[in-house]
Amino acid sequence: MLTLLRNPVTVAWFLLMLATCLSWWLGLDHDLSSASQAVVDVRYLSTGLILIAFIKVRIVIRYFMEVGKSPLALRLICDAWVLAVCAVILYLYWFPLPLVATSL
Amino acid sequence: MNAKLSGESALVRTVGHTKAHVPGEVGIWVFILGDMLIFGAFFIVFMYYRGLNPELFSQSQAMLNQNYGAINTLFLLASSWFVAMAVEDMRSKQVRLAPVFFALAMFCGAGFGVVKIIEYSEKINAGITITTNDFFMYYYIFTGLHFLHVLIGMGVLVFLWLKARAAAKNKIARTDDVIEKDMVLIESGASYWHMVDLLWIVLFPLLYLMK
Repeated sequence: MLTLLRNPVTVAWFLLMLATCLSWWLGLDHDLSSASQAVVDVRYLSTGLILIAFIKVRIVIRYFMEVGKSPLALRLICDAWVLAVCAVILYLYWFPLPLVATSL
Repeated sequence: MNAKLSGESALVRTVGHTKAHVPGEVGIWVFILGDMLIFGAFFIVFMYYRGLNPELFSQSQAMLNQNYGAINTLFLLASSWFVAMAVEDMRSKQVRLAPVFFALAMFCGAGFGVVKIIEYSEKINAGITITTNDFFMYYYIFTGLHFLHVLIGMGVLVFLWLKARAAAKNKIARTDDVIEKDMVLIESGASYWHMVDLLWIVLFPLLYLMK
């Protein structure tokens, strides 16, 4: 049982639960303070929430899916997905595109 | 005791992890990466439309219950951890706890399903449907498709649980060949279930939290 708790996968899980509770709290906290706006720019808060999510995603990929022990190609593909999707989400959040590409 | 423990971990290392190794079938990874690409496109489409009408998206999001999203994230994370622990146990000569871990993983998956159904029925009772507005259209499509993945995943977990039970019942130490063969299936199913978890981790802030 002790080896189970000292396992890196268990440590990863503990961090993931903690990060989820932090996001949960950040999300709720803003709701309460929304009346007194501009204490913190909500855009920084949202950016933080997205970054936390993609850090969690990478932990899941590395430790749960065991990609950390897999060949370089798979590690690179997974990291490319994490970086690209996270970057595009944040870009579109900060710099929304006008309605041009209706084919989207 | 110590000698036994180090012996066990040495076994874990020799079975499948002496060199870089793709968990499960290579084919399952084509499927997983394909699914991740599709959901990646979904997330981007959502952000594009959100940018066109941020007020509508914020007002609609305020109607969601963040607690449901958070509890479901915790359910899937716990489920994933149980699966990861079961996978480790399945690598040993004598399987002990894997069936219990898979059962607990299914329990958490079912918990996710119950919360999701409560959430959907609350929304539908409040008159909020897929046609309400753009936000709720994406909300229902993305969470619905994700829920479909959860249901398929539950079927996969039942299969893995049966495999683990059969292995645990077998009192004769399993040979390396048998373990290798089992691990391909076990790791494939486990990787799929972790992907279901991973997609929800992004959906949670995107739909429920982002302002």
